[in-house]
Amino acid sequence: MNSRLRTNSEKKNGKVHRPSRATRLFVVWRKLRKSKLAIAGFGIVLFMSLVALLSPVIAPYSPDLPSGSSRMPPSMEHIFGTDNLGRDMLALVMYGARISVYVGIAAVLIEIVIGLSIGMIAGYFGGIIDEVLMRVADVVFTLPMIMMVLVAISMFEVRSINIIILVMAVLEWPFMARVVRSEYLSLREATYVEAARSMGASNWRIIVRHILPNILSVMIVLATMDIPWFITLEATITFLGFGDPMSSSWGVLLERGVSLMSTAWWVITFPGLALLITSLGFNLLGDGLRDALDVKVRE
Amino acid sequence: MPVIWLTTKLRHQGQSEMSETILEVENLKKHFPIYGGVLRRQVAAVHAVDGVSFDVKQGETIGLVGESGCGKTTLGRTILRLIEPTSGSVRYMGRDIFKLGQREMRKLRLEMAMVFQDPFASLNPRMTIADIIGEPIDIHGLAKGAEKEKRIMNLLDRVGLTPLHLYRYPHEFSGGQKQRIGIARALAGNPKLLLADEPVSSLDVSVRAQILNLLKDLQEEYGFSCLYISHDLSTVKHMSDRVAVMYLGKLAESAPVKDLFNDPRHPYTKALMSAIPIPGQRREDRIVLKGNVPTPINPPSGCRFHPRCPEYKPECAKDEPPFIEVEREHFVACHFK
Amino acid sequence: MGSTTKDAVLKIDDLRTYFFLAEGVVKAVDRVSLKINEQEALGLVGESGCGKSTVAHSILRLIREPGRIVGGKILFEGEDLLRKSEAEMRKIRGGKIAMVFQNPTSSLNPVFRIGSQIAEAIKLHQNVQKHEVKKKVVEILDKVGIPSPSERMKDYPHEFSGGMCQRAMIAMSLSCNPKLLIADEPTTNLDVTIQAQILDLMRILRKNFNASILLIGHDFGVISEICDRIVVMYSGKVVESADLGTIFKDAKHPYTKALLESIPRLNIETERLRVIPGDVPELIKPPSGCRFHPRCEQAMEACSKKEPALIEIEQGHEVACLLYG
Repeated sequence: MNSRLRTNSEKKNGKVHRPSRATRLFVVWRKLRKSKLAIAGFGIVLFMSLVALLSPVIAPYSPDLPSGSSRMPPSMEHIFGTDNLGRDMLALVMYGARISVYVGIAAVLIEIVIGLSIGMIAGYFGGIIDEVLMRVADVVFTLPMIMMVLVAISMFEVRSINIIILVMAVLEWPFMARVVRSEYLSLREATYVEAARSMGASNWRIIVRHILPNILSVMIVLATMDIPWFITLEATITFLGFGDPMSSSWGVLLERGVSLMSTAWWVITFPGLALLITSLGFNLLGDGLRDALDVKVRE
Repeated sequence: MPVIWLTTKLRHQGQSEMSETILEVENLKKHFPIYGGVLRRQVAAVHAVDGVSFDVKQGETIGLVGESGCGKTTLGRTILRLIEPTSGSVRYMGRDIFKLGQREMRKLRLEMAMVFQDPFASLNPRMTIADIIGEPIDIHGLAKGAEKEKRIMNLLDRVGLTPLHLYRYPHEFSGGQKQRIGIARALAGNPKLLLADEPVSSLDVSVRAQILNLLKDLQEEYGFSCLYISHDLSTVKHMSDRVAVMYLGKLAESAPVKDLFNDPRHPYTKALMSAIPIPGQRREDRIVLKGNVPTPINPPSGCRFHPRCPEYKPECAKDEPPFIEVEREHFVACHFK
Repeated sequence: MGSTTKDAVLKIDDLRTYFFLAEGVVKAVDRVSLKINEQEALGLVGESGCGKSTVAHSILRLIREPGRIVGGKILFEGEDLLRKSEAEMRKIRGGKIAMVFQNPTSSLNPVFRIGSQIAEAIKLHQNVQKHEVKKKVVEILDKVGIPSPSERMKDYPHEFSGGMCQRAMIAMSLSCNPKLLIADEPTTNLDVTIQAQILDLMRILRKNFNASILLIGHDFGVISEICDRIVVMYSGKVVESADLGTIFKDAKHPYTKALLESIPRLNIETERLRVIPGDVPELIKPPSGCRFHPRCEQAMEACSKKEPALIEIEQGHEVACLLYG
């Protein structure tokens, strides 16, 4: 009858086939597949994650012990060359992926937890609670990152990558909170929310069934694009000398490589490239997810 | 036995002669405050609904008609208590709904359902049709599992859709079909009162008749009363038993549909009817009103219509005309009718 | 009424405007022909997606990518507009052919005063001395019924109500004495009583200005108020064309008939409205043969195979339906 009707659910043996959660995820995947850039992004992310996960297994050498002479240029034995202590750069970059990916994901998770809660609370209660929370967010957002890292380091008397993660996430949650709050406020006025209210839905139900799913899809996109932001941020902090030299994140590698730029360009270049490509990958994936998660975009 | 049978028969007779009044709106007002100045004090108010009273009997359709700013949409939502009133009462089956607690009010919402103007916006795009229609059933725990699915399929069938549509998403449907889904959802709780807020104005012209006929059929089948809000007089005429004309927050006139259209008394009603273009005709007798549709922020003194009224007399600016019955069931708010 | 005795101001021949989307080709206007004579008002009626707005935009060559005019002729005063350069079209737009749009408030530039916007139109298309322009603006605002025009011309669009904005738009379009005025759903967003004012105004102006009018809309009532002839479109094609009286008394195309019977009318009593089953088709994959056949009660087998041509069945009355040829 109507050419508009799609084939998501067809009659199977006379019973209507109900698409499960998995089928819905599959739909998102199918939509994602359509964009070449998104697939590229996904590929990069997957690749980097695998590298991060499997680095102890696949790294050709140990990253801590010297495995060649110092400052060897890229060669067959050392594809990325060696650093000034003779450590294999490829292994260092691989292990660096572990740390950096961990940094990105951990920071984003903390950011989400804080940002989502505060954003929802501000949106739901409104009034003075909203005002206070938003002003707090404003202040926190303007705190200078480097200084706060220093403050934290002196407070905890230790330089640790986890401190950096904490500081970054704590300084960035206002961004997420603001987005969550504004999405909440606009979704609350949606006609289908009014419809739910008109049938007697409780506030809880409206939030969980109608508002949250839509906020989550916005957040997934944002989170995906915040991961490279945090990775780069940590690299920057470390590069400027405030990082944790014990962790071998890409930032640490970059810092080490600065002084060797003229004599051993590979020490800074490969970690830098890795960082760049990873950032690109996450951003492309995030972009693709934005369209794939949008229910209204046709397959 | 025979005595009981007799009394039951008499009672049914009485009921069919004297329809129950299921809704009584009395002097309902809704003002939206406007804040201004440095201290954010209330400097003015939008008098969206400014004293409206009427009744709705069982099974009848009241058409509520008016132009933009007249308050009909606010009135509808206030009656359903989706907006809290400023003053006045709304009695549903004898109970003042504004005095009910949250929980009781929620239970009542099964019986007072709504169909929205924009079928696209009124359905959550992330929910399947089954979930959308089943939501009232879920909220009030009316049925579960197989029984619930049966009910949903039944509703789908009643509105002219098939079970194949159950697990699809709103964006896969046309406007007319989406509106059917909205109607099925509204009927899920077996309502006694249906508020239809411009249900066909967003739809293509060739599809409107489908939905209008559907509403009429369902009303006959389910027996609910309907408050039909629209700016389109022709549609209101077709759907309603009684019509109320609103202007700037108040009722200008209300009467049974035939009486209103054959014998309009209020100058605004007359102007409204003559303004409507009729297909195939050129209206030479048109009453063209001066000026613009005013905003309800600072309504004119006395009779609100007086600045644009072709039959204006000086008294009109001084006193507000009361809404009185001039013929059987025919009410007008005008000094000179 | 309205035949070939007068010269045609506008003659559209076999116009084809397609939109090339990733999903496919949308034939928004698919071989549409129509004619408007001098001082005639033609109503172009149809539902959303039928192509009527695209016809208007095609006339003024306002079609942008991914849309393109791929064929046909648009003869205005004898010259094919499709062969004119962009510079020549710019002279014509707002000058000899003026257009009034659906949403008056957003058609006006919010940061300029009403008076200066009208003045700009006048300066562009007419050889008027500078000191004369202001006088003309006041004159034209007065003609369209705006009270205290010399003061109101200093207002900004947001200070004007919807109805007054539409009057200002009409003023702007008439200020250069166009030969053809295209009005695309000019009253759709206005309240009924304001709509009545605008329709009244347009009727008066029709008498005073010598413009032909192309009125586009979906409301048969509004069209009836102004137009002498009506062209009904469906899914990119013309299905029927006749003068006003004939369409309402003697419509031949099943779509026109069904549509007229499905509208609730103020002056006609019905218990049930006539229903047109199904939905307006999507233009990306229109039905084969006659585009209306899936919803047509009188559809024959041939209707799904052969596209009916627009045939003149009597003087001034054309229908595209296999029932008639």
